[in-house]
Amino acid sequence: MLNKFIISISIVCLLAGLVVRLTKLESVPPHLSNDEISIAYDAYSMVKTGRDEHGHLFPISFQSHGSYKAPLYSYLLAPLTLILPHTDTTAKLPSAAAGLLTILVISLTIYKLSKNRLLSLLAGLIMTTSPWHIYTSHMVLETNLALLFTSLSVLLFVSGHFNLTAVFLSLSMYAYHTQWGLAPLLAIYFFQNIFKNNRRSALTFLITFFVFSFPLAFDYLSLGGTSARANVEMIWNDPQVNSALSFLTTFISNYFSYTNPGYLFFSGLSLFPSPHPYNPGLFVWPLIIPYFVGLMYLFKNLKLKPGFKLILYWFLISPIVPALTHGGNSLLRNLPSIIPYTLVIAIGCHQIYLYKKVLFALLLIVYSSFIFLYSWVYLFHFPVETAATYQGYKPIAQYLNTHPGFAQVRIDDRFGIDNQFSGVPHLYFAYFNYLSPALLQNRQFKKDATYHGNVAITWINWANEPLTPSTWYVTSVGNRPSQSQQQNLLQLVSSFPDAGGRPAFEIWTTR
Amino acid sequence: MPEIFLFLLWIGYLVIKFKPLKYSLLILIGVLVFGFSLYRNGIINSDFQVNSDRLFYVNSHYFDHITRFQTWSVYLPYRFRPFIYANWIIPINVFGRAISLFWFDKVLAFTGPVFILPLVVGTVKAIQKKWLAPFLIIFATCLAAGLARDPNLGPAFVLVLPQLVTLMVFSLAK
Repeated sequence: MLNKFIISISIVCLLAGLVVRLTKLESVPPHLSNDEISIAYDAYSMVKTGRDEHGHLFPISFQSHGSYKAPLYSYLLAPLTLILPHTDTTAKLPSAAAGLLTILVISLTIYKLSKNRLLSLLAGLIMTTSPWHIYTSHMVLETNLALLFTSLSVLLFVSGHFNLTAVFLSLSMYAYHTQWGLAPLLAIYFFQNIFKNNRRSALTFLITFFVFSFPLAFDYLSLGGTSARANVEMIWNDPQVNSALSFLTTFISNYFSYTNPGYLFFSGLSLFPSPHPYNPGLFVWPLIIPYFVGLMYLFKNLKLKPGFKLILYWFLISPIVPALTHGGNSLLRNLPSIIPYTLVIAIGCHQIYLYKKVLFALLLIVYSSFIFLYSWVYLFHFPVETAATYQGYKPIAQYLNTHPGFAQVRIDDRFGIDNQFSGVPHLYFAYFNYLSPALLQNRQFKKDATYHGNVAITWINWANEPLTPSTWYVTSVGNRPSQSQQQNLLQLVSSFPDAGGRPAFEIWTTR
Repeated sequence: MPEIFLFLLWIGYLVIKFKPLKYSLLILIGVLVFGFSLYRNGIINSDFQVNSDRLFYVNSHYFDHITRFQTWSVYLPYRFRPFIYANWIIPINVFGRAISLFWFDKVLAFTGPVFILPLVVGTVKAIQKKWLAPFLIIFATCLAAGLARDPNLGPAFVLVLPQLVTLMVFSLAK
């Protein structure tokens, strides 16, 4: 009876998790961020012209706005921008699909390692309902794609397909920068294990890995195209890290802060500015119990079960790369850790199930309650409360597309209640209005503004702005014209509220 | 004065370490340290009165958020709101903050990178030998520090220093 109850609850949770992952994909988070719209637009630009926003032909590293993004996401999204409408959902589809496939991959991996169906189901359930993974699957994130390729390489390794392991491990490095460090560390483990049994296979594995990684290494070393991001973010470029001892201190501190259970289970997912009572952890907090149970079981049985060594190795190495970067804990850079953590928690849950089923059922009920709570907070409150920090250029782009009553439009690329954020409106206009990529590739950078077509991107300073007829001015509510200008010179064309219903942007024109 | 109290606690702990009643006494020590941590953080005064200004950062931070959430909860029928958006979540946050303070990245600020290694090794050995008393005292202190609006790690560190040193020394044990 209890078994059936537990299985039923598990299946319900699994389905609920899937629903949460796909629900409100268009509107949560409320808008695409700088990085997300850049990836989406580059994909569209690539499929139309073979060049990115800056005119680079089939780049391995996308310049974007100086962040030099990994290429795989844009290339996978490119064909979708041809056949599907340009919406937030279309841009997020590869990430959402990668998220769903990762659940399947992790379940299969643990099944291959343990041959235990319940353990496999538990791993899938925990992954599906993890606030961390739901959050990343709702965004246009290269790291989510990289996670799929990394976990796929591990599955292929435990299945004995070593050449394919090398291929997918190399591909993961094209998906996100964290994998530049993680993939070689995993490759060392794989090589060592293959080498013990079959030296020829180990050599083939190594050659395949190097061959597929070569274009990326060549691009980095020879062209320097991908160097900017990788160099700037590392802790050795932090002026405060100026000696071996300070480097060691920073690295160890970062490493432990990434593994801090308080961060993992109570406050890691900063949906709202901290401290906030409804900020969830990367995992739901009741899972802290199976986490420690799983860790202890893992250490005790390390020699008995060979698969556990792989999990422990992954568990230990995955925070290394994010710990080498500065700027505080980043749940995106640390995303590869989600797999070993999930596996450890699943092992812990399984041990609790074997020890006392009533305890396990109790844990499941508490866990389900908090999944419900955080899903509610994420889907309904998060977009409303944080709307002001997102760029709401999408409705403006759609409005201008259907109201072509202007000769020129001048857009202030700052937004926010105090005009404190810097945005990339040209990308929103180009992506959502299907502008010809040639327009942006040939845009003109002038002293007062950047021009493409009849659009000028600039900082609008109302005191000095030359007001010309038939020109529309797009500004945030943080940059309104003065009262006298509003009364004598300008009139409001339209205003646009954010997802929380508060005023965000306005379009002004001359009287 | 607090240091003498701490010293007596420490001596008491060493005396009772191998006694049959050690677990209940250890819990008692944990409770005492917790109370003392409340005092050191200014949450209770010497007359055992709660300092309402200093008590519970939740009053100043979390309570505002909870109120706003309750106001914004247009998605839920009114009668259900207290169950979802209510003060019962605060103890969970306090517990989470204590866990966060309990971890090595916070201790590293005091020990430096050199002493973190014996601390980690000592911790592993203490867990293996089920010698959990230092953890109980450290966690009780962190729990009290976690109640403060802005946790002051200075007083908390004074309280946990003997336990940290013990764990470091324990790394030398066979």
